[in-house]
Amino acid sequence: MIRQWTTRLIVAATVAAALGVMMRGDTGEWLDSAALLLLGGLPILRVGALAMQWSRDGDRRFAAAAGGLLVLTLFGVGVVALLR
Amino acid sequence: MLAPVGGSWRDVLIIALAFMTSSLGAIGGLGGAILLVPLLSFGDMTIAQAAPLGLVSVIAGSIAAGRTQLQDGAVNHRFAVVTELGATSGAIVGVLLAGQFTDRLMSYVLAALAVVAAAGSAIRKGVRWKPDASLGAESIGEHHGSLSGVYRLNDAAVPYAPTRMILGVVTMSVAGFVTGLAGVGGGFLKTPLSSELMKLPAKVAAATSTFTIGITASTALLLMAMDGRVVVSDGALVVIGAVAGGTMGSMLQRRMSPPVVRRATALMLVVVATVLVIRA
Repeated sequence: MIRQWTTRLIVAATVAAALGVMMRGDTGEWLDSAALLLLGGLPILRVGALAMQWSRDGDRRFAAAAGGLLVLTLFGVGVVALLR
Repeated sequence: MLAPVGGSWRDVLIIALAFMTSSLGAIGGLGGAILLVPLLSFGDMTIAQAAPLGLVSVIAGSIAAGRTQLQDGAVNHRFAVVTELGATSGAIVGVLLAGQFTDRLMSYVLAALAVVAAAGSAIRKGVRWKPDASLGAESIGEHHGSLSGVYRLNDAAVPYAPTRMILGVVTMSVAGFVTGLAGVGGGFLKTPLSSELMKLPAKVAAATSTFTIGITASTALLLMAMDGRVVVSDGALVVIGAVAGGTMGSMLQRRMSPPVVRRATALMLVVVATVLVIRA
């Protein structure tokens, strides 16, 4: 299942990037941003999916580790937002 | 390299560089940013400006190559998540400190890391864990509640169990720091650390590192975007080149002889390091 939605999101990101490069202007910039958002968010989404899957399977220790990784990422975002 | 040419040629050049470096990065298991960031810095970009583009190429290459590796069952996700706790911590510190270093110092750091990566590529060894005839194809994969697993080596199933995890997580924070600082994936550090320090099989180490460099790079890219350092139009160009390059590189990796690939990659990295030092 992870492979399927990974493939779909990659295709969507690549198409958005290609259209953004061709159009330029405000629409192009919006499409470029969408491409980067889709691609940049994919690894984090995958960690979230793993946390849920392990939690469902009763693998609590590693579900907690995956959840901790997501919290750490949010913490980093918060720290940068505060310090910059 | 990039400054004298017109806008459209500059775009084509960025796509071509992203394609080439992601292909090579996926083949060698190093991630393409260690090549892309220095190459972009030879033109009209500083390393600090090229760093977010390096991260985009790492994520695209990681995801593109990861599809093939998921199919092979070579990624140990539990090991990846645990070691990423260290790497992501390092990446946060790296992003916060990135502006404190001069371009010259960053060039030296990247050159030194390129040499370390070259040495790692050249001396990396083959098989540590032995096949277990009692295990069948159904046992391939990672184990519930544990960091151990079984991987496929040709037609045999090989059990493995990583060691020295605490030391490993601490050293992974250094790889993460480099990612946050210079925008390179850190795979050239993570793969040798996983394989040599934590005794993960080389194939599992390379596949797992390919997955984890995407996570670290994703976090670092998010932080750089908040810092206003991402030029989205250039990022989109890198997406196009790196997705195609990562896909092609992972397909070529299955067909090519690993020792030849490692030596070629090592040679390329030494050239990059030399040029970086001369330029600095």
